[in-house]
Parts: sequence; structure tokens; C-alpha cells
Amino acid sequence: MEQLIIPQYYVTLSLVALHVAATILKVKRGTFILLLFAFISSLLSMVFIIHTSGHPPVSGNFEKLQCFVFYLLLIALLAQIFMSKEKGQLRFFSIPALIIIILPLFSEMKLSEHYIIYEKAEVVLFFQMRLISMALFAFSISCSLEALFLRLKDSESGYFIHLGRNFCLLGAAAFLSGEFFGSLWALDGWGDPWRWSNSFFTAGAMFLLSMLAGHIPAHYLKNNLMRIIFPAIPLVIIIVSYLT
Amino acid sequence: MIRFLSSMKFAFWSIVALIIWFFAGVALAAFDLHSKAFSMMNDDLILNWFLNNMFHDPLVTLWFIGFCLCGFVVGVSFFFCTITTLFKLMIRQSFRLKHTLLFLMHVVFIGIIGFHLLSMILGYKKGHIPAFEGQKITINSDYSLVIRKINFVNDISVLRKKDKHSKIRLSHENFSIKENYAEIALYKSNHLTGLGKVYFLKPLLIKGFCFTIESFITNKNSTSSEVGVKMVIAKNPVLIPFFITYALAILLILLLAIVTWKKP
Repeated sequence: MEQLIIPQYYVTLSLVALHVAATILKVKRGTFILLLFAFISSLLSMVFIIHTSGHPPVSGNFEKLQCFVFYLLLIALLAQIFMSKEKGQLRFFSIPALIIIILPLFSEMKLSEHYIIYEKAEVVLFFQMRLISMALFAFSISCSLEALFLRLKDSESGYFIHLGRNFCLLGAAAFLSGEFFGSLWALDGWGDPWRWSNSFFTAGAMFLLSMLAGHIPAHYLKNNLMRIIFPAIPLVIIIVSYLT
Repeated sequence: MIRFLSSMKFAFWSIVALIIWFFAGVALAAFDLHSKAFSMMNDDLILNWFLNNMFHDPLVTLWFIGFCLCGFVVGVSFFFCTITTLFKLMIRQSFRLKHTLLFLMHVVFIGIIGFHLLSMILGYKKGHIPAFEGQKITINSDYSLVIRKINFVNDISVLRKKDKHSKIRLSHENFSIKENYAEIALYKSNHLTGLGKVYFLKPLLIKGFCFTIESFITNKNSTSSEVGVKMVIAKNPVLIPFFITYALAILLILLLAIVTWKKP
């Protein structure tokens, strides 16, 4: 299976790129099928990665970023299936998905080795919940993109703004769950749930950023454009902090 | 004044200030010199670290004072917003689920900030304690710890690697998680009160003290192959309430998302 990992990555990358092209060209038919194929391809990548490395994706850009895109596609698929069709299909998620999935091209395409810590449930849950939260934040941003590019003057843009807020809240809950498991890991490994270190400061800032979107004073959100852009800015900073 | 302290504008800018301060900490910790000073903060109760080491790295001390101030301002904002705006809203809306959840969520976050603060000043902590077989470590005037035995079955060359992530990068080939341990005994006024084995990633709790192996080490001053441990001894009286409030916060955010999924 090891030799299938890189070809499978390129298949997912191509399908996501096709979805982006269809979104930009405003092609409506067939985008759901493209999403479905991209998700299946991403799922296969996950199976190959877990089978080869012996653990779910944790660290290492190549596997981590593919897992990020896997969760993002999963959320998009569920949203397409369960959400109101009257309000329109969400399609802009493929833009952040493409940006994320392109990144492994600029780093070494190899899997992380299997270390003892990856057998601890709290360690795996810490990494996985973080990835899920990043995917939820990315989906929230794509709701803003949807409102920004398609429905800015439409009364329905409020629907996408509220949807973005919902996914931001879910992302914050997932992020905090990851931090909860990370604290358990820190407690077992270093004797304290909190450490005065780089990674803990970044985590603290990231969580506060996720909360910031819900604490923007009303008079800062004067018009539709502000209502769309302002809540998305902290989420972009979170994802950039995570990726760097 | 209270109106200002409980306003959304004050909440927004206080959160922004704390975020900036966190990122300033990230930038500061990127320098090796300051990173070591931050590392020292992990080896003691913060109150003790502050009183004993405040002049060790003035920049880190200044950052810490600023961090406490920002945290305090966020706490004040949360507190006033909760007891005025959110409480009134909850009463006015006859305990409507959405408003009750919002109120409770803020109460829980005040709890998290409070428990963080308490864990900085209460209990006991000593980290990075190098300990070898037979060594006695005095914890306080009452308690002392004796390292009865250290069992290390692997090749000690893995312990001599100078890799920043050597602790994380342990594999089954070079480290046995089930056979490497330290057997310890806790004494209170020279009377044995508890004993047990501490494993890597599996701390031991005796009489409220948590004994954790940070890493296995070799004796740098000796050419022998004696293996020791780097240990953390901690007693955090607010650990369980801290984790409970943490879990509650997650639950409340999730509930709020569900309850308000459709536009209120």
C-alpha cells in the first residue's frame, strides 16, 4: 500500500482542483459527484496512510494536511446532504481545500515514523481534534466566501453568515476538546496540564481567536461586507498559525 | 463604569490584547535565551518562580506581568458582562435555553481562568529533578521521596541522543514502555506512607502528590552506565475541578451551537 500513497494524493489533488474550476466557472451540474469522488479518494489516502504508518495522521505535513482535507471534504459532504437545498449548494469549501492540499508539494512527501506516544489515546485525540477543528474553521471561512462572492447583495447572505458562525462554534468546541486531551497528555508526560512554552501560547491565542468572532461589537459590523469578512479574519489567522 | 466594563467593545479589545500578548510570548520563546527562562517557569510553582527568579530574565518577567494583567482584564470583562448583561438577559427571557447557556458558558470560562490562577499559587511543584537509585529527595518539611530502584532494559545510547524531540521520538525498538520504570517510596516524617512504580507517560499518585517521569537520563559526571530519571513532583489541588470545568465548557459550546443552529 505504501507505493499507492503518493499517486492517491495526486488523484485527490486533481479532483479538488477540478471542483475549484467548476466553482469558479459556476458550473452547477456534477459538482456533487466531484465532491463525492474527491472524498472517496481522500478516504483511500487515509486508509493507505494509517495502514503504512501504523497510526492515524498526527504530525508531519504530508499526512496531517491530507487528513485536514479529508475532514473538510467530509464536512462538506455532510453539509450537502443534510442542509437546505433551497438556500443553494455550498461549493466554496474547495478553495481552502485546494490551498491546503497543495502545501505538501512544497515539503517532503513522507510519513511520520511510529513512536510510542502515538499509542496513547489522548495523544492521537489531541492531534485529530485539532485537525477536525481546523476543518470546521475552514468550512466556516468557506461559508463567508460563499456569501462574499455569490450573495453579497442577496438577502440570503444572512443564512451563510449564520452558518459560518455555527461551524465556527463547532470548531471552537472541537479545538477545546483537542486542548483537553492535550492537557491530559501534558499531565502524563510533564506532570502539569499547562506548560509555559511556544506551543501552549499558540494554542491559547488560537482558542481566543475562535472566541473573538463571537465578540465583535455590533457597531463594527455596519454593513454586509463587514458582517461577512470580520468574523472570518480570526479563523484565517488560526489556520495560518496552525500551518506555520 | 460597570457599563463600560461589561460592554462588548471592552470584551473585544481585552481578548485582542491577550491574543497579542500570547503571540508576543511565542516570539519571545523563539529565542534560545528566553526559551530557557520560560522552561524554568515549568519547574516550580509560578508564585515561587516569580518571587525567586524575577530578575533572572527581566524580559520574560515583564512578559509574565503583562500576561497576568491581560488575563485579569479579560477576567474582569467576563465577570461584569456575565453578572450584568447576560444575567439580566437570562432573567428577562425567562431562562430561555439560549440565554441560560450563554450565561453558564461565561460562568464556566470565569471558572477556567480562576482555576488557572489558583494552580499558579496553590499546591506544590518541582520539575526537572535528576534522581538516581538510592537517592533521597526532600519534598517539604514533612515528606521525602526515596528512589528505591530504576529499571532500564534498553541500550542507554538512546538516552545520550541530543535531539530536541528525543522524548517524543521513542519507538518500541529503542524503548520499552512496560519494563522501564522507577520504583519510589514516599515517607512522611520518616514513616513509609506509600510506594509504587512510575513509568514513562504513566505517573503515580500517592497522598495527593503526582510523580511523573519526564525522561530517563544518564549520569553526565560519571563514565558508568548508571541510569536515572528526571522527575516532576506536583500537587495540584484544583486539577480535577479544572478538568471538569474544561469539559463543561466544551459541552456548553456544543449545546449553544445546536440550540441556535437555526437563526434565533
